[in-house]
Amino acid sequence: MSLSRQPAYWLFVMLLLGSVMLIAGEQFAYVSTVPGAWFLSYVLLAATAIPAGVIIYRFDQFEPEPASLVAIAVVWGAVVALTFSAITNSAALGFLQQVLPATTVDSWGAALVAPVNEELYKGAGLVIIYMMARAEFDGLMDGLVYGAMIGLGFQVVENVQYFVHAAAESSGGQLGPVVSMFFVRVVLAGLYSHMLFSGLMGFGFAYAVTQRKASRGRRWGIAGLFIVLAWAAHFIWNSPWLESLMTMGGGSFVLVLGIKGLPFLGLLVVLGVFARRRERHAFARLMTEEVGGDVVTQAELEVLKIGRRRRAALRKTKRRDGAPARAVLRQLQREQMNLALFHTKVRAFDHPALEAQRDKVRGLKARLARLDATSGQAG
Amino acid sequence: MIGWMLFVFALAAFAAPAGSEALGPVEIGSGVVVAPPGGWALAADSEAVGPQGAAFEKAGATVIFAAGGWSGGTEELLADQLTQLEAEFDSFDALPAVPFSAAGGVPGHVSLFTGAADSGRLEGEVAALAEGGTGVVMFAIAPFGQLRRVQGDLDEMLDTVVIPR
Repeated sequence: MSLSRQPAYWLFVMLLLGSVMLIAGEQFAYVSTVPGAWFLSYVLLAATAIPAGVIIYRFDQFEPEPASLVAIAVVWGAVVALTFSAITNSAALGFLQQVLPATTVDSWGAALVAPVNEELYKGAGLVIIYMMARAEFDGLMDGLVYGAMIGLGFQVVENVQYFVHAAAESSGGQLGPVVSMFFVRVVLAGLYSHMLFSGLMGFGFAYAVTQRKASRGRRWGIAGLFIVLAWAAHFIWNSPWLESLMTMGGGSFVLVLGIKGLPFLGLLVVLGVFARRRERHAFARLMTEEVGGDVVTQAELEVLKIGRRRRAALRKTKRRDGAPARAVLRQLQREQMNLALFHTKVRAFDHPALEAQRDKVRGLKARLARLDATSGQAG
Repeated sequence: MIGWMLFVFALAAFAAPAGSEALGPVEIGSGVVVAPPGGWALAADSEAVGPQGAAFEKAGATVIFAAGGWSGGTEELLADQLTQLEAEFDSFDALPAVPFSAAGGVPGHVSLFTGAADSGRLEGEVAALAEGGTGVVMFAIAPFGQLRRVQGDLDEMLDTVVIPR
């Protein structure tokens, strides 16, 4: 897959360059005025966003998405979607200020404006990634992963803005406000934010573009439903509902966050489990022809299907045959799972690419057997 | 994407009050001239301020400029205004006055305040300027949390107000 051959890729590059010019100026202003807060913001956010990104990436265990597309998703959220949203939000608030009372705009402005604009621009990232690499969108999980990655990028840079502004407005030191905001926006509320909203939208989008057996009306109807759900989750989150309860103390504050965010987070988790189950069934189906030969045994397939079992096998091998054997088994598991990917790309059972992959698996099995034998002799 | 952005811009422009470009300089009396930035419109009840003043509105905020003879200092003029305001609001609270310079280095004092009225909790800014026997008072008020939206405009009006020497 060569991204540079896709017009959508160059559209992305163009929008990115334009957005970078705007967002770079903003970041430079942050560094100039509150350098300590800016640096601490990125350190704290990296400490949480990198593990979150790894977890999302690894959630798609049977067909990890290409790193280049995942990076584009994150950058789209962090730079392009955020820039377009900021400009449009500002204009939309200006509109609301003319048509609604000022107090209403103050309370409801963020709930009315942000979901419409931000979900639209984050969703556009899904479309552009799909236009760049249609072949990579072949399951519901793909939409969840790309959507959540776009949301993650958006969330990180938006949080930097919040942290830095809190520091700039504080009459005390720079670092205290950053840590306080980090606690509220990331520790308490991080799971209910843009990753969740655009993860929901990604699921709907993936349904529309991958479930080709369903009628067009059903596919786009479900996509529309998830777009509304993403918007609703964002709207409820930004709305002033239960605000009076939030001021009553720490416990109430956390309770309100849970009431507003947990139902949608629960839904996303259920969708994730559902998508993963579908991937597992698809994987087992694709591997049917391989099972029973010298490449994958039935017992190995049962292990490969479930992440917990794969990790248990790795631990067992490490205990029995040492770390090098564990590394080989890990690679073997990955290459055996890749066999399923090859089956999605080629139809002929004896296709040279499939044969080469089988040889790779056989080679790893032989290496593992040697390590096993060596450790057996040593033992 | 860009289409949606342009649509929102068009909506905002369409909804903006007619002539939302700057009103232009407005003489409020005693030769004092105020130049509200774009987006401010003459308040419907501006005449109620009297012949020596004018009121402008934008995005739920109202600012009143009034001029008249004053031979004292600006700190006293401000204190006099705050005393009057205190009588009109419940839970009135004002920050200590701070000196500032307006257009042409004209000295002044400014204070921020909050208070409650029948319409709810409000916040505002009062500034007093004096030059050549003329005193000018700027009184801005907005629903609580809204004043910051127009703070830049208020600063600009104080920076450009013209008081005859």
